[in-house]
Amino acid sequence: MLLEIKNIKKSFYQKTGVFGENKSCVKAVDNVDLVINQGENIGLVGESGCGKTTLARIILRLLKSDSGSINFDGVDISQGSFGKLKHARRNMQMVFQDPYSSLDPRFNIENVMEEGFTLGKKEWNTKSKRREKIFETFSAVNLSTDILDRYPHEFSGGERQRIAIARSLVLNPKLLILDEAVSSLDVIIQKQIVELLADLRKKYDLTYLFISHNLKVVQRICQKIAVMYKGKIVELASTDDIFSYPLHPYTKELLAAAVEYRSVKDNAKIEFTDDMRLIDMGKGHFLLK
Amino acid sequence: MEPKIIKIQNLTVSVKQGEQSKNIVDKVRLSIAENSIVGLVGGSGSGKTTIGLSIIRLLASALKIDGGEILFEGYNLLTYSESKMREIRGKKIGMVFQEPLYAFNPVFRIGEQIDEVLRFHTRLDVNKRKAKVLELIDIVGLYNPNKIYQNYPHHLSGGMRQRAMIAQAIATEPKLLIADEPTSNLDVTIQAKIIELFRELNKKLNLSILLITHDLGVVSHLCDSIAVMTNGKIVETGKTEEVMKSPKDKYTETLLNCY
Amino acid sequence: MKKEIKSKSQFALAISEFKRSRRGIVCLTILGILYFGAIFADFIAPYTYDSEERDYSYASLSKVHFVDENGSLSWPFVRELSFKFDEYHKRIYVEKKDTKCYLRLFNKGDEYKFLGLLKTDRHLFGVDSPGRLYIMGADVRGRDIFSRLIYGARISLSIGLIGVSISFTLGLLIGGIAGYYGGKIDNIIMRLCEMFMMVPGFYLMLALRSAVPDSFNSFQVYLAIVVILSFIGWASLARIIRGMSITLREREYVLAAKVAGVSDLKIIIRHILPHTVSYSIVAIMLSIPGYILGEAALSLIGLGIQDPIASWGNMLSDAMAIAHIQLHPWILMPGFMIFLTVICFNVVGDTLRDCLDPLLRGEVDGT
Repeated sequence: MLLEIKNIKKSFYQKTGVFGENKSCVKAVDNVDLVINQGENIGLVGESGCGKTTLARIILRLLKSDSGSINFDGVDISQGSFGKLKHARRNMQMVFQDPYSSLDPRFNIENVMEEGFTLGKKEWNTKSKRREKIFETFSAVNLSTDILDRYPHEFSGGERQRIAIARSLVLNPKLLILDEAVSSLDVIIQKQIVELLADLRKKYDLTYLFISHNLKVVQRICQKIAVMYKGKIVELASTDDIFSYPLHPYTKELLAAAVEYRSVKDNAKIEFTDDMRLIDMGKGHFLLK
Repeated sequence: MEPKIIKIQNLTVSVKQGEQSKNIVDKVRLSIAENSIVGLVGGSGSGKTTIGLSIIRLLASALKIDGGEILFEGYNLLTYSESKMREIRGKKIGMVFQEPLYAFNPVFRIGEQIDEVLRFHTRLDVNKRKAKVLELIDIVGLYNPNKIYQNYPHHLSGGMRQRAMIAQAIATEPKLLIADEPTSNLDVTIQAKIIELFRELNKKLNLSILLITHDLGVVSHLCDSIAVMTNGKIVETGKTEEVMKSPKDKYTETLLNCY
Repeated sequence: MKKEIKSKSQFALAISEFKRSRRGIVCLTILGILYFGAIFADFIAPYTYDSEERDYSYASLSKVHFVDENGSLSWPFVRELSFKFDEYHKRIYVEKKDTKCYLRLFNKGDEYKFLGLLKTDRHLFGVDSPGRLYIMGADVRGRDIFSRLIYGARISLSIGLIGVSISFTLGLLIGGIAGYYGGKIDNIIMRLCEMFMMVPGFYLMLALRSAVPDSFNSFQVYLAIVVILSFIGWASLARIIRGMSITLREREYVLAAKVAGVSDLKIIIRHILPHTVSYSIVAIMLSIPGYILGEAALSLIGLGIQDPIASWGNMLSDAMAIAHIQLHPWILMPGFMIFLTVICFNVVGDTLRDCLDPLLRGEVDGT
């Protein structure tokens, strides 16, 4: 077991009205449990605003959850200050959606890559060691090695995303969180990156938490899919099961949209009650009931 | 042969880079039959957006149309004066862009901005215009038109904004709608709904649509015919089913493999 | 072709744009000359700032002769002056016919330490003693206004630079921190800023000045003034930097740096503040005049730099009586210098803004 999160809750408060007199509360992540095993890629799928990015940021401790526990690689990382969790955090990296904004335009590629070593400065203490590692990673993501003194704006979207992936790999992390990492790319590039990710996984023994709104993208690299809706995981099953026997109405809607480009007419509004839990429907197919 | 609403012949657009110039659209031929949906598919940088912008003559100043003609209702749009073009734009040809956030002015209400198009292009009075705007908001599938009318752009989600933009584009009942990556920034569920909306508009309003996208999936489910573009050239055209079933060009095959 | 476009960084583009503006170049050159003069003041000035000659009180500009009494061309010289009083007890200077004090390059004069290192008595130019060379006239104690202007430039011009560097370091850091962390920290810092901005600047300056002990020597007073001026200046900058860093902190590369484990302070310094640079440079240029004027105002009313040390402000205090201006208009020179410097800084700032404008827009919209 690489990562286990339990009962994670996170609400955001919003002040509205001229003087902020009305407070409203949005439950971004509502009582979520999730287990990720070593080597088992999980796709986290849901529409924008369903809380999937918030969940990813909570796992990385970029946000603090309101309650619940996160156990990563045997360490409870939901407690303690952000700075103290250095060891856990170097094994957990993230690739962001937009390759045009995830690289600082004023940094050349060498600076970008150097920044990836921040948490491993002790081990990678000389420049030549780091250089070697950078070159190794570059060849793994099919980038040429003579780009170190160039700037992000000189690269295409696909190349930038490769650079971002390379940056997240230099410390040999165990878990890589990909937040819509291919959504803003062209289909051809999308496919290349997805294939690259599949290769890297074998090479570096990585586990992915792949966040996307598109089931079809996730299908290619994930063994399991968790469907998220309005802050809750509504269905969790192996990829094949999700595609062949979707149980939850929302999963069906997602599937229709991704595969057949067809929208399901809103027949019934999906409502939650407090006592709903993920229940095993057999063969590890969980459904929120 | 069915009548064409628009016929592009040998369109060449170049960009000037210092002394040299490079053709980003190279002798392109493309025609859209009346009341049909045509998908223009290609990777980023293939020149597909440039074609869309050439039709409504809104190219960036660095780009120059070097030759060819764009026949719309039998007249060459490239010979029109700027003021005549302004009438065509919005009235006879509507356009929808990828990022609906920038398409609306954040300080005006959605309703007012749709209304503005009607005020500019039609002679309807205030009340009729308002009724028309509400009807349009309803057509594009937004609930509670009265409320949407009063909303500001930031009140709406991405999908809703895209719908509002479509409402604005079809306000004057144009013959042709150019949609440039209208769903690329949207969730798949919303994308599916927008696709259905396009299909409906095509049927109900006899609207021809030029759909510019990199996603063959969208095209295959919506369009009657396809034009595949790469490096400024159209490499394959044909009926959707035929192209999908037996692609003749190598690039089309690559695209199909990715989808 | 493409390579050439690439290799030009945004700033290189801005600089080549700047070179095309004639106004900007002219003003930048003037500023360059002024600062050059200030640095080498003791060499360029014919006299030191406190070299006085009471017999030449308010002497007007020296008359340089090129023709001697025989009517033949000669090396330029000045004559000694003697004076008598007219009916209003105003001194009337008359040249002594038989004296000749030749103008010399690299002549010997008052002793000084060149750049604080080399002891020497050579000046760029001067006249043989006992003659006095006043190219901009003399003040009440017969000190050369030109020399004092150059010495004064040291204080008046450096106060702007030092003040700006202090207040900008403060403003950038505090604004960056407020914007980056947000929440309570932001709230407290911003209220503090507003308090500073609420108090009328000039009166705050006076109040702070009155807190400085009388026993300070002129160097300490100078430091005190710099600190006082920069204490007032940081707040408005901090507010703007805060606004920019609120947008910048949402950028994904900031998150990426956080994930990589970069410390907060480093993120602010490396990822947030550099993106405010094009705004800051313009703001710096446009705020330097404020410091120069602030020092001048304090010295003018006698609270700043004290005689005999020269600063443009305290030299101008001579010109506070209209009678003096009428009789000895050259004592207005320091005012003209302040005017010139302020104009130049404003023009350079404006030109820079025009050149950096595409960048300015890019910084905030993220293109």
